[in-house]
Amino acid sequence: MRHDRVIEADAEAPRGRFRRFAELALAPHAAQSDQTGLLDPRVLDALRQEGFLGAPVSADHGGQGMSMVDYGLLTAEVARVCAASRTLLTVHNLVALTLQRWGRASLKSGLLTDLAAGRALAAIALSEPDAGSDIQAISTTITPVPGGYLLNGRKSWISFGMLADWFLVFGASPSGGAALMVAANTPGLSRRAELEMTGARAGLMAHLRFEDCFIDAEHTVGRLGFGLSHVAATALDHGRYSVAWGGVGVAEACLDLTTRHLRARRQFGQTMAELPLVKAALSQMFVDARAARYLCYGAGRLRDQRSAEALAETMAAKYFAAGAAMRAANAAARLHGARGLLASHPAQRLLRDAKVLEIIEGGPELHELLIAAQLGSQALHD
Amino acid sequence: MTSAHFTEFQIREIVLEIIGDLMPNAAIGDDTDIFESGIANSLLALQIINRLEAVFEIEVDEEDLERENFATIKGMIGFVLGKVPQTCAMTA
Repeated sequence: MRHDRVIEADAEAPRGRFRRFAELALAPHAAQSDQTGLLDPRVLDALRQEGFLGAPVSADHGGQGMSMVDYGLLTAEVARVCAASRTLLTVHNLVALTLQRWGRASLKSGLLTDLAAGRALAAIALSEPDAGSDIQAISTTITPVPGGYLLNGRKSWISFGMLADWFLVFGASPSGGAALMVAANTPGLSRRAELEMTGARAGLMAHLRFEDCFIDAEHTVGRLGFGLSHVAATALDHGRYSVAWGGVGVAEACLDLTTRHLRARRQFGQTMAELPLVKAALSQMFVDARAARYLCYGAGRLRDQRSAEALAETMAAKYFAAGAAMRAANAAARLHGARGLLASHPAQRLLRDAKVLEIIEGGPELHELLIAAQLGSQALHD
Repeated sequence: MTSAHFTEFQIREIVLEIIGDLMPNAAIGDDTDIFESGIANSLLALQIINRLEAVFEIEVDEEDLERENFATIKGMIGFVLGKVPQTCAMTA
């Protein structure tokens, strides 16, 4: 990858449009969504009307065919103002893109076009009460029966699980890991809201229970035996990419918020922004955010080029950007003094949302394992 | 589908290079099952497919997801042979 001009000006062009959309359509509802834990329906409508639900799906399947770089820029601008909206973009699009990659022709011509247009919402159902990062430990079963499969098990921490029309569900079949698209109204499927969350609070997190759910064989995603090794890996890769850009948005929001505050507030006869230690903190926030954006942009470029190196670069981007968001949010809350401790203050919301980004799609420890494992291979090039 | 042409020997060389790049410390023979042996995890499995797609300019879709296509070097060579036009049939 060229490092002399990491981000070309034309590649940044859509960013202004995405920011104006986020400020106009999402930001006014973000604080209330955070307080109530409910996503304002107007937010959902706005995302759908702009075609942002399913935007990176190819035009052949009814999407906008948005480049992965543009999709990243959009995700960052959305995350900057509303974590729940970013969560929706992440889970819906990761399912749509996974379906585009590994779905059968019948699913692509039907369900995928609905997801691409935002007519239906999708969520991923991978985690279980006893299986988080260790996805091989999942105990949900997918049992072949005439014409399809019987699905039994429980899923936890399903973002937008209370709203989704479809779930990409992973389980163990006699042939190995398997993935199915499951309609929310399938008989035997029940869902209940998870306990109140700390961050991305309007993410409508759900717990799912499947009891002898019959799923048509046509709803298989990828071949049986490849559900975890290929389908889940693809889904998590798309999730990491989106979450990484979410980290960029949160880190930059923290920097903007804190800079405004420190330039306005006077202490010791000068603005706080003039204090040497505060300058150091702001510099760290700026460089962190900029580095996160560069890493994410690099990963996006590689994805658009369909480069085999994109997977490893995306992991590096998620690891760094989520960490940058966390560091920036900690600094933002601290530099706002007592105000930063107010539950309703934007710095507190950003701090809680940053913690979510740090944990989801694999926490830092898991990423350290994965990235270190790549160092012996050529997956991470010089 | 790719327009590039490869001999069977070239395909074999490239597949060996990909496997060597991604799993440099593993002893992998033509018939070693990289999944059964625990050599490859899901990330590597996806990276192998991404590399094959990029190098040979092919698309791997849902119908290609058969264990025998990707579990061994021999399987990968056979899979690619079925996807790309060949300049000549040359036994490695």
